[in-house]
Amino acid sequence: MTETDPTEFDKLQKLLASKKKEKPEEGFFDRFSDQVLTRLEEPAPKPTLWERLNDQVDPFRAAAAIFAVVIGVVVWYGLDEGSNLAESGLEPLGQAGDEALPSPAAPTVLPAKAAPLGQGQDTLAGSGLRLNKSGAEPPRILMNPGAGLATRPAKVDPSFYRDKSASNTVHAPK
Amino acid sequence: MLESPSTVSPAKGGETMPEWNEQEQVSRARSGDMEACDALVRQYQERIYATIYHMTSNHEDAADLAQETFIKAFRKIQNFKGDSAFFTWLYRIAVNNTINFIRSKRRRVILSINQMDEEWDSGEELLGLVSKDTPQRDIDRHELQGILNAAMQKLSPNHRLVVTLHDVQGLPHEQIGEIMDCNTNTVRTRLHYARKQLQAHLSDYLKQ
Repeated sequence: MTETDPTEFDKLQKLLASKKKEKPEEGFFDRFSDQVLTRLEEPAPKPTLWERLNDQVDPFRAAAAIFAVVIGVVVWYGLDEGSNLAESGLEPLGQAGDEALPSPAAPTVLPAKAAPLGQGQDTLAGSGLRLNKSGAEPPRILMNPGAGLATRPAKVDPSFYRDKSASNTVHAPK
Repeated sequence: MLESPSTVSPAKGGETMPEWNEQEQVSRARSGDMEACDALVRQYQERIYATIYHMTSNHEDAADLAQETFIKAFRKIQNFKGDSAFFTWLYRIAVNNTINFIRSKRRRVILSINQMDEEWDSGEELLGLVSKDTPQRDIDRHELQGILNAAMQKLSPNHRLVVTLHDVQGLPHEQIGEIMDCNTNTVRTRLHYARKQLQAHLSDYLKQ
């Protein structure tokens, strides 16, 4: 805005001062007091809960109390969650997958509902392999090396087993 | 604490009216004396009504809000501790009531302008303030009042209030600060900003 023009400013003040001359219709103030007193004698409407609170409670104290309660609830909730984590020994976040790797021995049954990442209880952290916590037999290894072959004694030269106890004797060079 | 606006009122014809003792009237009103309530209403009704009227620019709203102000004040008079003048306390109730009303009815502003005093009826003095170089010179006094009130309605409630209390009603900055619960510098700043805004809104009418 531009700098105040003194002439304009003077006119504005006069215009505003002229508003003082605006009056209600004649006799308005003669009746006004009676109207107020009549209404005052009527039973007061029952104050709402909000009005009663406004009258009786200091808004600053109320705001401070609400803030303290909110902080208290947040701290209590945080501590409670922390102790639950410690008790359950959950895997660290993001280190467990619910689905095991497909294995030919284990039947691949999809879980009814996939748990979120990191919340799987029966998986090996980081690998996605299913942990065996139930005590069931581990899966059999199908590939058995040497299976079906007859055992035969090895052919060994008997001199191989001869006494070599004197092996620490020093032989003079021939 | 500021003094009450009037203490002694000399009567016409040489008679002396009983001295206006606000504290006594307030304590009587507090004990349920309707005569004291009546005296307090008559003492302040014009100023309370005028403040609300200049804030709302509507006679019906101003009449209702002024009644509500006094009723609320008498129903809560037990809460008046005497930390400030009764007049200031009453003004605070009126102002808070009116600002709440304006905020709740922001979208619906209906101007209804009261008549000027008899001495201002010709409106020549008022019209003399309007620029002679603009077509708006042809407007009559009633239109000019409407334009001024419409410009007032464009101000925020706090700016409108400070202009009403200072420029229209002539209250000092200190008393306005007490009513608005802010310091004198805030009152001055708001007044300066409000006048600039009004000047901008009325620039077509105020230029030479």
